[in-house]
Amino acid sequence: MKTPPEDTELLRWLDDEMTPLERERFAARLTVEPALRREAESLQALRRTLREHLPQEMAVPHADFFNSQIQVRLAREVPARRGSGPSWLAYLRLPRLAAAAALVLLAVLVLRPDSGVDSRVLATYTPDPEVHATTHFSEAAGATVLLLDGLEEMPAERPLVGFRQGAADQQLFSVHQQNAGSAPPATAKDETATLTANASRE
Amino acid sequence: MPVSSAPEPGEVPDHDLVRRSQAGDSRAFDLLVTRYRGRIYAMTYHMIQNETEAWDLAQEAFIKAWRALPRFKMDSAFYTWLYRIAHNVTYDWLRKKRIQGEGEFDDERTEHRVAAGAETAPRGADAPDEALRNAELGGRIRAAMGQLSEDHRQVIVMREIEGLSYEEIAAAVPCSLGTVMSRLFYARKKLQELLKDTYENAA
Amino acid sequence: MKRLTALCCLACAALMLPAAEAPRRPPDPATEGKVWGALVHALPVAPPGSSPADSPHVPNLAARLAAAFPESGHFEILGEHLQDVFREYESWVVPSKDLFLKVDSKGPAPGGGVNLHLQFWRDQQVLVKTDAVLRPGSPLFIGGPRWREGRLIFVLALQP
Repeated sequence: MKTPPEDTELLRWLDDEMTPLERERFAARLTVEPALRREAESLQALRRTLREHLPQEMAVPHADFFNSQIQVRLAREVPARRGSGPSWLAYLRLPRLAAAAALVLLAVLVLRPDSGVDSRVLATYTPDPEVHATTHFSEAAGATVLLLDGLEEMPAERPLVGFRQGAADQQLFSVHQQNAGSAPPATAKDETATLTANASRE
Repeated sequence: MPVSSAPEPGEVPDHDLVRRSQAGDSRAFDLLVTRYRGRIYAMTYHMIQNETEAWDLAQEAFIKAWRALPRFKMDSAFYTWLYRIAHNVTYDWLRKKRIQGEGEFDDERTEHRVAAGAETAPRGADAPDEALRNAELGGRIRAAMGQLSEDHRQVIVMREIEGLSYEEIAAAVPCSLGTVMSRLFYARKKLQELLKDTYENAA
Repeated sequence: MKRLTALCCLACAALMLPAAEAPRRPPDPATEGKVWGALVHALPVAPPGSSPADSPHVPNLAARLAAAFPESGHFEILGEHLQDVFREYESWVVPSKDLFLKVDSKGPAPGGGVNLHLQFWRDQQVLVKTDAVLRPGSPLFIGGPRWREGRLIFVLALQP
């Protein structure tokens, strides 16, 4: 796909890619060619509009969470960085950093032990500031619990529609249908099963 | 290539933070993330036009930058180097999406339909006329950008938003200077066609 | 003769059809494993006529839920979904159209299990985003909104 030659000139003028001499010549053309001038003005207006509405910098949604997630991922990679470049251990020679590192280590080892067997919650973020998330590992339940407090109650009169879904591919597409606002998938059924904490309750 | 926005007076310069990051100091890297996340996110957002995916890709760019930091020789500004990584991450994603799109597997699925407006719904129905007009115009411009091909959108973002020269665009894409000019020409023609009434009325 | 030619063409086309169609089937996307997700209604007491039930996907589910949510004595599964966790695509665990989970794999976890980025959705709103390591035999219970006399709980368990 080639750019028509007459437009190449206009393009280079618009994008400030001309030498001073070329620019001068083109400016002279603009004074005597009304159609070319109209096109040049239109393209300049387009540029102004684009720059006004497509900012070079934007506020990152949930910026703190953005950073904290990166930190979580970096923490997993730090051991792999040992031996490359200057040693990060050098920073531990600074007493404050060493103390901070010890605290972090303590937190990792004591407060959030990773048994390698149990599930763990590494980081949470709630977009609604009214909602608070807390997490703990329940030994009795053998499960990790993430509690959300401050959520708006589901209206009592609202019926909840449950599905029984098994086949993965089928489900993926049934989810689309739902998301697109269509009727629940044909495979979904309104069945419920009951679990009771009976004698086996711990 | 885009140059680094100079840190404010009193701020730690990029090269100090880069050195500390290279030594494994993730807090120094966190400051770099804070300094440049807005620009990197803007680039990924303009390229793929989806808040959630742009957010994830911007993160991916920073993670990749962290991994590549030991090889960064500081022969260019940190932001220039970071921008190149973010550009590659975004373009790889678009390429992968295009390949997947050729199959029957629908990857335009799910979240974006569910999420439409979920966390980005415009607030303040009582916005003043000016703000409302701007919001409408912004929406039209984003929609027009969405109608460009990825190649065309890419050159528009690089030229109009990042202010890259033809040579810098050609090196980043990579492609010839002629291709850069050709893509810019046709991309602008398309945008003119889609937006002419908008910006001429606004003027 | 024309008829014979047409019949031959049809026969050839019929023979070639399966071969022509075969490559069109997209390859199955790579997965990190399967998760079982359930939406559970926790109630203080069992309603009359309810019968105990359990799930093969999480042994002793009722007892474990009771241990984690001691204020409730009865747990009812409203919906469940067994879902592949795709390696390069987002996956959705949708036991109910009211509360569901978006799952993004971040790769295998050291020591087993899988690193996940989860988003817990209620209709069109994200309630919480979280990074978690999910391991087989160790479910995640998300205590969600209150509903009627009790609370809704989302159970997510990586299948062995």
